[in-house]
Amino acid sequence: MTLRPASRRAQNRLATWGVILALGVALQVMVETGALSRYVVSPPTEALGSLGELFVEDRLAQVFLLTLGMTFVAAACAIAVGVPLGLLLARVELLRRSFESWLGAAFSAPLVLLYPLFLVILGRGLGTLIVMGALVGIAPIALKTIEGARSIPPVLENVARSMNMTQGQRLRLLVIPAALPSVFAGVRIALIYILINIVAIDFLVSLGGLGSLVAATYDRYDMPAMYGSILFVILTSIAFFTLIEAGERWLTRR
Amino acid sequence: MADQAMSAPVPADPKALVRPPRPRAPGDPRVLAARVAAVVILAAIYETLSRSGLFYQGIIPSLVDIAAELVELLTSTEFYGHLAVTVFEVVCGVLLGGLVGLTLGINLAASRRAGDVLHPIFLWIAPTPKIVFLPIIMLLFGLDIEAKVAKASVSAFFPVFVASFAGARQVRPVLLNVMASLNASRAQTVRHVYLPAMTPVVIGAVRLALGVAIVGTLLAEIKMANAGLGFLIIQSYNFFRIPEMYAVLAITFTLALAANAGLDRLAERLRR
Repeated sequence: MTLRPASRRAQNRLATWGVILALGVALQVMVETGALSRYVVSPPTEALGSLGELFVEDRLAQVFLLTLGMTFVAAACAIAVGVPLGLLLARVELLRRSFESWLGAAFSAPLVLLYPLFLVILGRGLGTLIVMGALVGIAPIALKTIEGARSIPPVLENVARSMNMTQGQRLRLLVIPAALPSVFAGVRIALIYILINIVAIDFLVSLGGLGSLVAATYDRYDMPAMYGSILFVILTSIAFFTLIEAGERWLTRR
Repeated sequence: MADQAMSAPVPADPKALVRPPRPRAPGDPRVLAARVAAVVILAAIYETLSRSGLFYQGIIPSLVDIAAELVELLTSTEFYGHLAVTVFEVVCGVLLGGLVGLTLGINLAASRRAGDVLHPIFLWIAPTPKIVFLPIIMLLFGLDIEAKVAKASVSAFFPVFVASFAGARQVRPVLLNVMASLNASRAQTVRHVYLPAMTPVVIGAVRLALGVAIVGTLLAEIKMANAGLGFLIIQSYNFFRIPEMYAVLAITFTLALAANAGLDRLAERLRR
């Protein structure tokens, strides 16, 4: 093998798509020949074909925008709470030592299960989605903010002190620029969790987003549309994560 | 490597996770005082809200009511039946999904070509919302315990696969070359090189898998069960027994955090 790494990578990527295509064809053949029941698995061509119908009859574009919009609103709320919280904990050593591990625990806790609680308090509406989304996003953002704000080289701290910087100047000129790349990483992680949790809650409670669409197509037992909408959720979340990652790389390079 | 120990309900890829804070700042009384103060203040705010009359009656139950409900739950035999169902589903899911994830992860990592070609597919699906697979699982497995085990397995599979693949790819090539020159079989290489080198990675991955399996199982129980903690939560919601709902949630969170902390401690010990 004397392939250059780049062409080797391209070849591998091509093979990956080949495998996906082969799996699709295999599934199609198995359903068409009756090896797999049509009542359990929809042939890939029909699932893909149903997407057009989903766009027209189930207003897929609107459904998609609702989920995406909720995700971003929740992320904005999580940033508004998480970043100041992280900066505070990074600044006050006692608070950090007392509560940083609580944030870690919150990050690993099954927070999504709290959704019935907010359904009761806020009612069955988009408010619950936003609050639940924000709730899962706060911990990763705050933790990453702490990490970033504590990564300032001591030399710079000393320079800031020797220049008699005020607290505000220190924050604006030193802490925030130093913490930014790490904060971006936190926001990226938060966005992933928020999207997953919003889709999950929407699937269970039916609030009009992508999760409800999957649940609805299952409930009306429309196999092609169900597989089509599942495929759509998978594909959009892959696109979403790829774009966020690219966005983060672009932001941190500048 | 340290990435693998990180905790997350649904991990995207190993490097995307947040490093957990060093556990336990031991023995500083001021830390303890700050934590106690925080708990007391939060409880006071909560209780004030509960009694303020700002919310509809019963929406934010008093801590006293929740505590009473907690005692009632913990002394009823019925509760332990539900708990056992959920624990069974989660443990089966973690074992099943974890074993498949570990085996597939190591094997794909060991064969360079197949790994490079197939790994991206799993990596793409790993951070997507696994809940959308639930309808397919319900079609395949029905609405009973098998379906919940299947859901937990699917959830647990991805973090273990991703971590195992990444961990196995980081095993030093020298060791693999030695095994190759000894004409060792794949099974021998896995047993004597991969697994010993990957123990902390695997424990970290199991911790992640446990977290997502708990969420996966409970959400599946909420959607379709007639037993389990998720069923208790949604039933108390449907019948507006709000203090009971808070109590079940409190128990669920305590157990999840305890399991997580236990595995964390185990991983810490093994790393030393």
